[in-house]
Amino acid sequence: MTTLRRFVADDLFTFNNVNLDPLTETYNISFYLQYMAQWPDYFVAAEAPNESCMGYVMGKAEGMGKLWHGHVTAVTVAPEYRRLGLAEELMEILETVSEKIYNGFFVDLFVRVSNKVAIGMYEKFGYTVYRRVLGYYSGADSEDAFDMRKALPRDVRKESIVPLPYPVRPEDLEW
Amino acid sequence: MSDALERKLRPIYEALDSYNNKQAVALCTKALKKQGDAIIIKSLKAVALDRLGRDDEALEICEEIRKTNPTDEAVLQYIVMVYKGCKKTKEIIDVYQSAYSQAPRNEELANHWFMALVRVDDRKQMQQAAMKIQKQFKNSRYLFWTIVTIWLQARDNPGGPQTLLTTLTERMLVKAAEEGHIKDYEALQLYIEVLETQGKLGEALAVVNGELGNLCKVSADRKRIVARLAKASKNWKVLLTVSKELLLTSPDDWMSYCNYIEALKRLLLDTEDPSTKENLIEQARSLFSVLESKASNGKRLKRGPLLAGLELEKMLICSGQAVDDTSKMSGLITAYLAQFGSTLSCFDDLRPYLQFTSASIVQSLFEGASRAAEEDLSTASVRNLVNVEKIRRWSEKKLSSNQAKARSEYYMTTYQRTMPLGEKFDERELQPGDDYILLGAHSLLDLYGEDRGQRQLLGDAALILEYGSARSKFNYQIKLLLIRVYFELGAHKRLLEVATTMDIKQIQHDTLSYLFTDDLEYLGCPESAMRAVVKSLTIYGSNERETPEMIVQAFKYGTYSKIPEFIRFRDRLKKSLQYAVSQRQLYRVEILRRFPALDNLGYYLEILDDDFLKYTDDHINSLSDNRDVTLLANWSAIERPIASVVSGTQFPRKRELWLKLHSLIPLILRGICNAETAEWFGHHQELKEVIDIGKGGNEELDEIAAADALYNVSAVLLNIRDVPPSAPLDLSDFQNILDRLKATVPSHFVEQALSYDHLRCLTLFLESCNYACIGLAAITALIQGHQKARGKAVCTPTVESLTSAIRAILVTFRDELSALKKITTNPDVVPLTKEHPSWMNAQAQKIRQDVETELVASWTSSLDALIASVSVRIDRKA
Ligand SMILES: CC(C)(COP(=O)(O)OP(=O)(O)OC[C@H]1O[C@@H](n2cnc3c(N)ncnc32)[C@H](O)[C@@H]1OP(=O)(O)O)[C@@H](O)C(=O)NCCC(=O)NCCS
Repeated sequence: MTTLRRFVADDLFTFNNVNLDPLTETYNISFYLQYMAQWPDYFVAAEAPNESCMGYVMGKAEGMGKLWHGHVTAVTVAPEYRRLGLAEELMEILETVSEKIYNGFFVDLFVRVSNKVAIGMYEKFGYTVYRRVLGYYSGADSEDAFDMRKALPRDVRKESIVPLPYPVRPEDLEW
Repeated sequence: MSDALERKLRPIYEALDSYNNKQAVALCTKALKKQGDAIIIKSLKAVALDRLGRDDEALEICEEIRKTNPTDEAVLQYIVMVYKGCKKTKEIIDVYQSAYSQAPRNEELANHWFMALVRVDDRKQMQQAAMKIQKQFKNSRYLFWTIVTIWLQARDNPGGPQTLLTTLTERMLVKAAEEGHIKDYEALQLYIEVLETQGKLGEALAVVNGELGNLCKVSADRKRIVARLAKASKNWKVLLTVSKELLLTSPDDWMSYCNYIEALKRLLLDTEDPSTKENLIEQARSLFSVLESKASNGKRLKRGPLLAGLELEKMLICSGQAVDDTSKMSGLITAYLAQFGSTLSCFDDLRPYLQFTSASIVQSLFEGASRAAEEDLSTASVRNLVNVEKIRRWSEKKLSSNQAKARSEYYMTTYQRTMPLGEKFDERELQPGDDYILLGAHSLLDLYGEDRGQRQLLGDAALILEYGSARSKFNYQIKLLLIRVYFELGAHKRLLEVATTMDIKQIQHDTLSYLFTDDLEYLGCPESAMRAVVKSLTIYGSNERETPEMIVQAFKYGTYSKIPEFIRFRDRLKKSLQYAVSQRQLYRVEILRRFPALDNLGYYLEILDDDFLKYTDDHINSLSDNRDVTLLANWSAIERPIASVVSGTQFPRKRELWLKLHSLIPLILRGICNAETAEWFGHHQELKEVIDIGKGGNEELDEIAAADALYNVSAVLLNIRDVPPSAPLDLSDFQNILDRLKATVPSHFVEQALSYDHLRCLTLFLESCNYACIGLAAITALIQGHQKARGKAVCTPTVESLTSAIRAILVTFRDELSALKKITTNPDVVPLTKEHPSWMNAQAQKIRQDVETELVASWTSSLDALIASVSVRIDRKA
């Protein structure tokens, strides 16, 4: 019931039903366009039969050596299309892209420590908390983040996901 | 770089890094005294000066440097920085072009030159540069730059001589393919797109099915391209087959279902043979049932197969392949509800098929769902019931006034029953019963749409929505509707407060602002209106700054498909209808704010950018309407968005005429204020035409009346401007304008609360008065000029008597406004129900009180603002 396709610039005009959600940030133009220009396969939209936007995932590949990995920048689903398995499908695409196109060792993401729904969801998808990042989210709703990871087949011994026992600060992040 | 130079540079860099620009300038000046020719220091000085806002000096230095034909990358970088800041795009191109021509082996410079051309979107130059660079560096990346730049020119104007360019693009791509330069998915896509555009679908198909098709790393991508091409070439058999293959791997892929069903329809229509038909239909049904079982074996149920079943039956009925069989469709709908009734999207999923069901089925669905919720009140049973409520609403005929009120009350009591279910939800999640709030408000608003005299329905709808919003703080549907209702009530304060909580930003300024900024300038809140509009305009500056850089990025990363996509995006924002409307709203507010001082207004109008004031049909028709008008939920069978029901006209409203009016008004005022006659007369005549069109088409008659006042003022001034200084002046036409104004002072709002309509009428009257005041001020200025020249001219009537006539009108108007203010603060006129429906508990009572207070406060502030505006005009010295 979903058409999955590349996210295109014109979608920015119609993604409001998704982005008016309080947990979904609306970024500036260059943020989205940069992702589209640099990682077009990593930015996927889900479209409903009436052509409205159901949700999207945006990601990128980054890192060096054994830290080469896929990163989930945002995954979000419009309220009216939640609990249909859409986030799961979008995350699967992102993992496929990370594995098949970019050949990464793992996938990682940041999530607000208060976002219980999302954390539970990522755990269900096989992600585990790798470390806590203090004050990762700044501004009015400043908050810590969990850096969660899931190993891809290339990381045979799952070294990338061994949790760090101590929290880090945003300036300690590798990228 | 020498050590000595480096020692000198270090403190300059440090000063610049810490934004100590003054110090940086001083250091540079000092260093230059000793080393007058160090252009690196000069360029740094230019940067520092530019940062201090001393653009002219900075640019002068840059020019000086440019004469030396620099190729040093640091120097180039700094002067380009200055040029960028001053928006000197042409200079940037020249700088890089000349640097590159001096160092033709420097690939970095070549890239800079090309990208500078990309930023200004000069496609011909881009092509020439790309070809030159390609010749020099022989890299397939530059070959594709060349191809894309030609392709961009070809796409620009399909049909014209550009077809030659399309052929050229194709030839280059064929050659690139032969020589093995097509090496990634993006290049492949470009190749296929060019073939497709020319209708060479067979060739395109051959490419995808051939070796190059392997560039699609995900096999479904390749099949999707095949499906697209098969569809375009009406090759229904192929389309049927690939769609089937795609569905077997992903049984929820809606596009493939649609393609499959479309192919099936065409094949059915193409054959007369009943057994072939039957066979095809049988195949489809069995495929869908395979997919259904496949989907339910998976981790979770997918909606696709069941909905595809509905889509299939719908197609068969609509194309005459099957009889309209309500029971079959109803069965499928019931089955779908049983599986997915508790998902939020269920109603929207089923909407296209509801026309095939019957009232009795709906009734029995409703009874079943109610019973289920009665027995076990859970989030799931409530969501299911809400979906059925929506179906019921959709299929119902119009309700009587009492029925609708009773229904709204029923929705609210049911809502209250569901409230405990969501108590523990994260506040950022929707509450299970939220849609009952919307249904409750919709019922009242529908009724209001029928009888706009019943204004308390609006207040009651606001109350319901506020009540729901207090519980579900982030439900944007509730908030957006609330905004529209407050707008109709003429209450700008709370409306803008609610809008602020929505945190509209970035691109949403273009697509969503209209929901709360459209027509805000009529609500008697000039300051807030200006702030809201100015904020929304920021996105267009961002577009100018950011999007060209991203087009550069797409070239850089070789994402060819994104280049036309980004260009289109940039143009849609640049030519946004919302942009044009907001810009004019701003002018409008400013004109009212600035006037009592004629020269202040004149100066403001003088510097308006004429590009923003274009009013030709061609220009207006070329604007891009990016407003997101599908956002507000609508559950009625009549295609009438709820926002239009609330406003009583199409919302957002048509803007063609309005845009013309509000281009011409500032242009004519410019003529009047600055006695600038060159274009004034032309605009004056245009305005007459627009006014006649408006009158003829009954469009915006109140706006037209105000524009008419301006037209008449303009006519008087055009008439007298050439009268010789000492000749008598006949101002009787101006007296006529004032007589008309006097006869139309708004005064018919006795014993009624304010509303958008009222405020609009008051604001437009104020504008008409303003035009008369401006006209009189201009006449006065003209006469004063004459007096200096030669003696005193005789005016009939005298300027003094006109001035006191206008004052008298303004005083009457002000008295009316003050009287209105007294009425408005009387709680009895506030349009809120006096009865107490059963759901009104203590909390609802409190919210009712708040709504009342808010409305009164907002209206009072609007009237105060209008009174203040009138007063400055009364007190204005002649
Ligand atoms: C988080 C979010 C993306 C989930 O999208 P979704 O399409 O509804 O998720 P799915 O249907 O694929 O759910 C997958 C699993 O996640 C869990 N989950 C999702 N939403 C849940 C909820 N509201 N409560 C509890 N569990 C939930 C469930 O385990 C679910 O599996 P199940 O339905 O079989 O029980 C969506 O709620 C959302 O867009 N939230 C706002 C944006 C956000 O928070 N993004 C993540 C920031 S990093």
